Formats: sequence, structure tokens, C-alpha cells
Amino acid sequence: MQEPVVADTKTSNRELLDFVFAWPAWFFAVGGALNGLLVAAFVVVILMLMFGLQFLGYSHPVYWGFLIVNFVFWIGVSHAGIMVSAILRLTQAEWRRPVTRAAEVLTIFSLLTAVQFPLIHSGRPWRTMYWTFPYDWNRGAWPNPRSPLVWDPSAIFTYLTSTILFVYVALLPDLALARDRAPNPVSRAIYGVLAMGFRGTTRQWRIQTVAGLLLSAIILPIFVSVHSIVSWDFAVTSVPGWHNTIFAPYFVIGAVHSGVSAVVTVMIVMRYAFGLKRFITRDHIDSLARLLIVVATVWLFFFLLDFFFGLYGTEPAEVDTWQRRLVEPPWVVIAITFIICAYIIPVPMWMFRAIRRNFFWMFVTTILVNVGMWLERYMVVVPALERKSGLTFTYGDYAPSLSEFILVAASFALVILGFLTFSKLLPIMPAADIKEGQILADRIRVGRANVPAAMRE
Amino acid sequence: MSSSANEAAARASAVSEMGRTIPTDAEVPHSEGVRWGMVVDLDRCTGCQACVVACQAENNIALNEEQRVLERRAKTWIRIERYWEGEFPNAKARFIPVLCQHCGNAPCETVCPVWATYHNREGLNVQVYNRCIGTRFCANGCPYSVRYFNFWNPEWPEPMNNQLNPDVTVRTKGIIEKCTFCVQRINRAHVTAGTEGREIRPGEVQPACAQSCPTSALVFADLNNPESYPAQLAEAEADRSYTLLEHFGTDPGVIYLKKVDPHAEIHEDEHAHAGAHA
Amino acid sequence: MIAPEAAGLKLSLRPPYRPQALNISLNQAGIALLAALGLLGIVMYVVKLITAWGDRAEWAYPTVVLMFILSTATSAPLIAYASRMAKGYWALPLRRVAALYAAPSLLSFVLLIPIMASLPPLEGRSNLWFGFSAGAPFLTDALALSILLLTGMALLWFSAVPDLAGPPSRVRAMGRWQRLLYLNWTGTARQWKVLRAANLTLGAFYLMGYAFVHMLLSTDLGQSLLPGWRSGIFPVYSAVTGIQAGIAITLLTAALMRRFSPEAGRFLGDEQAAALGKILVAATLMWFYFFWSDFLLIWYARLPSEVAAMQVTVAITYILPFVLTAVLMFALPLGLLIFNKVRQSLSLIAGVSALIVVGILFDRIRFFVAPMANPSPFGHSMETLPAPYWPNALDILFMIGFIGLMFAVFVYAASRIPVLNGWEMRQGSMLRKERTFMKTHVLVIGKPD
Repeated sequence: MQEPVVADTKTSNRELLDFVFAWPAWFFAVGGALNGLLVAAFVVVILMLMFGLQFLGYSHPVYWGFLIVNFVFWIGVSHAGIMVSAILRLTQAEWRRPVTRAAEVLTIFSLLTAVQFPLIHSGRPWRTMYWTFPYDWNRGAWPNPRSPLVWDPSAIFTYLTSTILFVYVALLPDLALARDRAPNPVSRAIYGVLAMGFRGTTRQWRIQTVAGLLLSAIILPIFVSVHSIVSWDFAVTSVPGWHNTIFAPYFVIGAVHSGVSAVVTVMIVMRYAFGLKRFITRDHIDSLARLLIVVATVWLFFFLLDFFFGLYGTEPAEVDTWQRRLVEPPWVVIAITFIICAYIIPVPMWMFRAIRRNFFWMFVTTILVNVGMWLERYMVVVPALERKSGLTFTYGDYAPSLSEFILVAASFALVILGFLTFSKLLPIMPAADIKEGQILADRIRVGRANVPAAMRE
Repeated sequence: MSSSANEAAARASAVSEMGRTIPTDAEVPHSEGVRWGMVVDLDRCTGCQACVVACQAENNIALNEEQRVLERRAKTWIRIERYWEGEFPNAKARFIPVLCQHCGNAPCETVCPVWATYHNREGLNVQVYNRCIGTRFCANGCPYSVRYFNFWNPEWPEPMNNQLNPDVTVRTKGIIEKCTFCVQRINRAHVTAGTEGREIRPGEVQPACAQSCPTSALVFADLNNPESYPAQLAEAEADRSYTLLEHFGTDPGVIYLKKVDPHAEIHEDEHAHAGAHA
Repeated sequence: MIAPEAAGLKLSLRPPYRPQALNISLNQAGIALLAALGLLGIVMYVVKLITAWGDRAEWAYPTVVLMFILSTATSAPLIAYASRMAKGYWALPLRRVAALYAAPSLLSFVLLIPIMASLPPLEGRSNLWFGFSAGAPFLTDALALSILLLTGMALLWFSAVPDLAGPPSRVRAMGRWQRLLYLNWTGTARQWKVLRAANLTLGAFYLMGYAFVHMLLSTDLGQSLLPGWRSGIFPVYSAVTGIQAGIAITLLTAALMRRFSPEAGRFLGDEQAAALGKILVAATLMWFYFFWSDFLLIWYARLPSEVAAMQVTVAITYILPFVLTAVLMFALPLGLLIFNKVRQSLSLIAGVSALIVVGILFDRIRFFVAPMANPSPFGHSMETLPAPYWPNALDILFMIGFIGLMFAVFVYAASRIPVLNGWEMRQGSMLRKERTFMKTHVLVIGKPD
């Protein structure tokens, strides 16, 4: 039942903007703890820059590991924002309204976090900057356009730019609202500049709406391309276990799976942390969970295709890789945990309406999904390298080091901190969008039933 | 070995090699011109590892201490892979020296974002250390696992630093290195031949591994020159010759000759298990 | 966009209920043409059965027809079920049109039997069965396909019963078996609830079955017969392009229906074209995405065995059908569909749809003829590229006849079952009202849970 939010404009404005102007004690506590983790990660990065990558668990021939897994994971999470915002905006799903901003902001910060990882993971990060920015015009030494590692930044930064634009366009009316309600002249001036003179004239609204719709449509192909290209980092090679044509859609749908789950987690945390009980309701979680059932099932199908077509050719190297992934001791635990967390527990649970509408269980299951999806990426990336070669002499092993655990933990800290900072400085709830939803909400009487309805634009 | 003028010229040649426009696939003819390559006769290989040591000395490869080997970070541009065949007591050791195959269709070259590795006009798969940023994508793409990463700056304890080869760069941390077919020797031969106004003679260039091989299991030459011994060998022993992991279609520049074992049946698939696709 | 017909709908569907009023009515010439084509199809099928039983290459073009039916007739009902699950109000009048294609898709089973009988044994070639020997692939594929087809028919029938049954008194007066056939439909609240649940769950099942059947057949009749062709994305490509063609054939049918059935045509219009048009654009982009994901990886990794297979289906052997596919399924449709004018007119979008429907035929030719006609399907890589296998006169007649038969069956089904889903449209019109908002008229859509 999609009950419209019931609140008058004044209450909405107050509650939606509450956190921007309040300074609760837990904000400092959480922020401090997260910053501590970031400092630890910073030390690790400095050590890596000074003494090389010897602190990481890599060895011959496993040269990619936790950091790349984490990169793929965060790129995956970043797919939530656009999935939720753009697609639902284009399909005019009413329940999207309170969800969009949080999802988009999650996109921005997970993207910003993700791009750190290939950089610190490369042997000489300073050279990475030096050779790629600016291009070496003078000697005609260009980047190699055939390399997926050149496609990657192109796609990711396009995605980042368009997401920031997308968020900013949607943010304009809320910035104007924050400007009008700012408690002191300084913040009023800052929000005023950011709002770019948005006063809510008909023309401004029209431009804002059209821009939002256009960006939604333009951003969708970018959204698909980003994770496809990330998947091609692996799949274009001839490494058995990586080289499978299903990888692009498999990664994209997996990204949506983990991303939308992350959005649910974030929404539930926001509901309690920011006091948004009136705006983030069971209906929203319910709708997202139904979406997740479909996404998860498609994802499982693609995973099975990956598996079947890995074994399909019955090439020894390929079979070895899958055996490593699913059967051999350290990996069998990961494989079982992964499939249980990513599908077997959550999806049957989501089949029940009572679970879908229960915040606690949705919180638990969506966390599980992301644990599972992290392990899935780990399982995709590493065993293939351990059993890469037809030359069994070079079989390798990989065990992550403490530094890698610190860096991975810090990536979570960085995303959470970014999200917190954003919601501290700017309205995290799309107040204008929610109010629009309230205006568009309507009811239709059919016989004795009173069905919730919404106007179409 | 040669005069300092020659050395300077060799350096200059190496520099110009790096500075010139990077050729595209279309510009690299594999069937004409020089294609440096090697023929490895497994029938002659005894697994003595002389090539490994020679390579280590020639190419300033960091010391492989025990700890390095245990953590699988030891660097060996050429390695002797040892496979066991048969059950005890009839077990037999089989040796395959594996080095960079200098593939004509190299999987490592396409994936490097900065052209740190590319194919030069003489069929060499070249690694430009100065451009390498250490993404290690090439090492992942290489089916032979012959690319090694520098996890730290190499160090040589006091007397050993004196044996470093002045013709070869010492690689810094954070980059990939691999067999070059002793490109410094090839370049020097070019200079010598150039000053004498002639082509490089077959057998004039020897990489350290081939030079040190006591049984001449490794022979090196221009495979496109029908007069060179390796080319003739590969031709004469065509029924024994194969390339490593042929199904990857990498067009390797290293040709292997199967072991001839009169005392035991070598099953095709056991051979295949050892990576040798006959 | 507000369909002016919506208001009239309530009136025209009021009892006394005349299901036949909405049936498609062709003129004599049309019926004669379809009957002739259908007859040709049956005759050619019998001729093939007699002359070519067990000869795999002879069944190459029938396989193309089989996959064509699976990608158009079998996928079209998905539009009905997906829009029902997503509560999409826009496709309401198209749901029955799409679901009716479940009837002609029964023909795919008729084709599957002789094709399966001509397949070589599984040993020695790559396949998805991994030594599972209980009747694979013959029994398993036939079972999967028949379950899918039966689900489609059940869905078609269930969703048509409220329209066919008429007033409760009529059903009560029926004999026992007939009443069972009509599910004893008297329109009680419980019956409606069960119907809704059945529609949703069977619809979801059909969706999964569709993907599964495409996975099985595209592998057993395609990939596994062409050594070296190992592409995990191909089953998905096959299913997704099938959906593209399914949307296209639905739009095409809707446009034809507007032309030939004035009564039904009143409800089929530009609103549906505009809504489905957007999805067709997405599906057209999907064609490229899935093609490219497949092509790029094989081209880049340069494994000789895979490249050889790619040369058969894309680059060398069947380059002509490939180019036609790329133009008809991607380049032309995309170039035309980006114009609002094309997307928002049923007649224009039907033209684009016709291109796609022809395109998918060529697409299936390039993928399924080479494997079926491949004389040496064993091993893991090909020694030489097989020569192209072009259709002879018999094959062409077979294709024309059997595809004609498919449409003939559709028209027959459409003459038995109303082509508009009256009950759903009435429900839809109840949940839809116009309102004045500020100074404009807006459409309000109710979304019951």
C-alpha cells in the first residue's frame, strides 16, 4: 500500500532540514572514529609510497587482490544511485522520492572512494598521474587506447561528473530552501550562492524538471557502461575464469544488486539517525525489496551462466579455476558464504511481506547481500589468478595482509564519512521532490475501496 | 668487451629505440625482417639452472634470498619448471625452461595503459621501465607468468654491487620486469655491425642464458633468417617442435623441441598437463 | 496523453456481453492468403519430415524458423506479464494482443521434435549437460519447451476466461466439463483474487522459463554444434533480442489490428506506441550492448578457437546476414526511433517493428545455420571455417510457409478469443481519471497494492 506522506509543508521543511542545522553528539563520535581509521589507512599508503608494495599480500603470479576487489565492490555500490533515481524517475515510480538523494550521494562517495584504489594499487602512483595527466603530447607518447585501464577512468569520471550534475540539479530547490531557513548570514550566503538564484519561478521549475529528466536518460547508458568496462578489466584477457563473455551484464546486474541493497541499508540507518520516520516508511523498503527480488534472481541466472560456460568447454585450466573457486579448502568457505549471503538467505526472506516491511530484517538481509557480493568479487578476481596458467609450476596463493584489511576498512569509513558530511552540509532528503509527491498524490474511489493514486506528468 | 665509444653508441641506440614513435601492429611485420627468437631443445635440457644464474648476473636481477622465494616474490626471468612424470620408483623429472616468449600476439601488450610494453620491429616484446606505472595488468594477462613485479628497490650487499652490469638498468620499485632476450647485447651487435657496414651475422648475438647453456639446449637467432642454426633446427626437427600453450594463439618467438625418451611412453595428455601442447 | 477512448470503454464493454464483437475480422482475400500460407507450411513440414528425417543440415533452416518463433511469438506474451507485474497502465490494451501469441508459439514444439532427432550424440563436443545422460538433450529440451508453452496457454486462457465466460448465469447453465473449462467463472471476489495471483506467479514463471528455454536451445542447437563457440552471453543475447522482436511483433500486430478490426482498433493507439516505443529503444540499444559485449571479448582475447567461431557468425561466413541484422535490428531502428514523431505514432512505429521482425530472422540465420549445417561438430576447435550453407528453394518455401502458418494460427486464435482484455481494461479505466490541476488537465492513475 503506497500511503502518501502526511505532513504539512512547515513540518516537512523542519524535519527534512533538521539535520543540516543540528549538531548531535553522535555525529562527532562517529566522525572521530571514522577519521581514526582514515589516519591508519593514510599511514599505510605513505608506507606503500615510500617502500613499495611489499606490505600487500601479492606474490607471483597473483598480482591483483583485495584492493582491486574493493574497487570493483565500490563501483558496484555506486550503481545504486542511478538505478534508483534515473530509472525510477523515468518510469515515474512514486515511491522513489525520498530514496533518490541518498542513493545518488552514495553513488558519488562510493565512486570517489573506488577511484582511490587503482591509484594506490599501482606500483608508481605518481607516475600514473605523470603519464596520464597531462598527456605527453610532445613526445607523441599517448596512453594506450586499447587498454581497458584507459577505458576505465574515462567511463568512471564521465559517470562521476554526470552524477554530480544530476545531484546538483535535483538539489537546487532544496538549496534554496536551506538558504531561506539558514540560521545565520554566513550559511545563508553560502547556500544562496550554491542555489544559483533559484526562487521557484515557473520557468526555473520547468528547466529544473527537464534537466533532471534529460540527465536521467543520458546517464543510463553511462551507468551500464561503467561496470561493463570494469568487468572488461578482467574479461578481455584470456585468463581462464576471467574470460567469459557474460561478464559485462553479470557485473552490471551484480552491481545493481549490491547497490540497491546498500541503499536500503542506508535508508534504514537514516530513518533512525536523522529522525526521518515520517518520510522513510515501510512502503519504500517494501518496494525496494521487491525490486531486489527481481534483480537478485537475474543476477543468480547470470552467475550460473558464468559457471556453466566456464565448464562448458571443459578446458583443464578453466575447470581448475572453478574447482579452486568452489571446492578447494580456503575458497570453499568463501564460496558457500557468498552464495548463502547473496542469495539463499535474503531472497526467500524477501518473499514474505512481513519481512519486507520489517526494518530490522531488511537491515540484516541487505547487509548480508553486500557481504556476499564483496566475497563474490573476491571469488571472481583472485582464484583465476592463482590458477591462471596452463603451466602448473606457477600456481600461486594469495592471502591478504593487515595493510589490505586496513585499507578496505578505511574505504568503508571514507564512504560513511563522506555521506555524513554531505548530510551535515546539504539536505540529504529531497524536500522539494517529497513535497511534489505530496501534491501529486491523489486517491481514486473504486466501489468501496479507496485506492492511492498519483498524477502523471 | 668493446671500446667506450661503442658503448656510448649502444646507449644512444637504446635511447633512440625508446624515443621513436611506437609502431602499431600493422607496422610490425613478423614474417619479414628480423625476428629474434629461440629454440629450446628439451631433449638436451638437463635442468642445471646455469641459464638462470647467468641471466641473474647479466641482467642485474635482485638477489633471490630464501625469504623471497618462500613468499613467492623471487624474480627469475628464465626459470626451469620441473614436472614429475610417472609414479615412484619410475618417476622421471622433466624440465622446461620458461622465459618471456616474446609473443607476436602478446596479450600483455594490449592491456598496458601507458605503452610501457610494446612490440618492436625486431620481434622483441619490449618493456620500457621508465613508462611502467605498475598496474600489473600485463602480468595478469600473460599466460606464461613470466612477468615479475618489483615489490621494493633491489639492494646488493657490499661486494656484490661491483658485479652489476653497467649496460642494464637497475629496476626501481613498483614496476614490472621480464626477459628482454638481452636486448643490450642485441643493441651492441647492431652498433658493431653498423660501424663495420654489414648485417648482424647469425650467431653473433647470444643472450646470457643461451651462452651459458652447457648442452646448447637454448639457441638464439633471427628466426626469419633461414641460414641461422635455430631456424634450420626448428625446420629439421619440425616433428618435435611446438610452442607453449599454443591454444592461446600468442604466436610465441620461442620454439620448443619435444623430449625424445626411448625408455618410456610419453602420453600426449601427460605432456599437455605439463603445459606442453604437442 | 489521455486516450479519449478510455471514457468510451466503460460503455462498450457493458453487458450484455458480446465477446465476438471485439474479434478480428479479415476479409475473404486475407483469410484465403493466410490459409494458403498455412497450408504451404504444413505441406513443407511434411515434405521435410519425409525427405530429411535425421539429416541435420536439412533441418538448419527449420531451426532458424524455430528460433524465430521462440524469439517473436514466445517472447511477445512477456510484454503482457511484465506490464502486469509492474502495474504498467500503458500497455493495458496490448496485453491480450501480446498474450495471444502463446497460441502460434505452440508450433515451435512441432518443429523441435524432428530437429532434436537429427542432433549428433553429446560425447566429444562441448555441451551444457556435462555427462547428464537422462534423455539430455532431447527429453530435457522438449520438456522445458512444452512446460513453457503450456504455461503460456494457461495464462492466455486464465486471463481470457472473465471475458469469455459472460454473465454468471451463462456459466451456471453450462455442462460439467464446459464449466470446468471456464473455471466455473462467476466472478466472485475469491475467484478474482486467485486469478490475479495466478496471473502474477505464472507470469513470473513464464519469464524464467523463457530465459531457461533460450539458454537450452541456443546452446543445444547453436553453440554446442560449432566447436570453439563458447560464449556465456549468447543465451542472454538470444533471449534479449527475442524480447526486442517480441515487442516489435506486438506493435506490428496492434497496428494491423487497428487496420483490420475497427472495433478493437479504437483502443489501440498512439498511447501504447509511445509507451512501448521507449522500451523498444531500450531493447534496440540492448541489441548493441549484448552484441558488443560478446564481440569485443572474443576479438580482444584472440583465442584462435573462439575467433574462428566468431568469424563464422559475424565476420566471414555469414557476414551478409550479420550486416543485415545490424542494420535492421539496430542501426535503422535506432536512427528512426529517436524521433518522437516515430515513437508516438502506431503506424510509424509499426514500420520500424517490421524491420526488426525481418532482422531477427537474419540474426537467427547467422547463428543457427552454421552449427546445424556443420559437418564436424566434435572437438573443441575448428580446423577450417565451414562454407556458408544457403537455403535452397525448399528451405525458402518452408520458411515462408511456416512463418505464414504462425500468423494463420494467430489469426485463428484471435477469432476465438477476444483480442482486447475487456476485464483488465475496465479495471484500468476505473483506476484512471482525469483531473484539473492548476490550469491543466492531468491524468491520475491509481496503484492498488
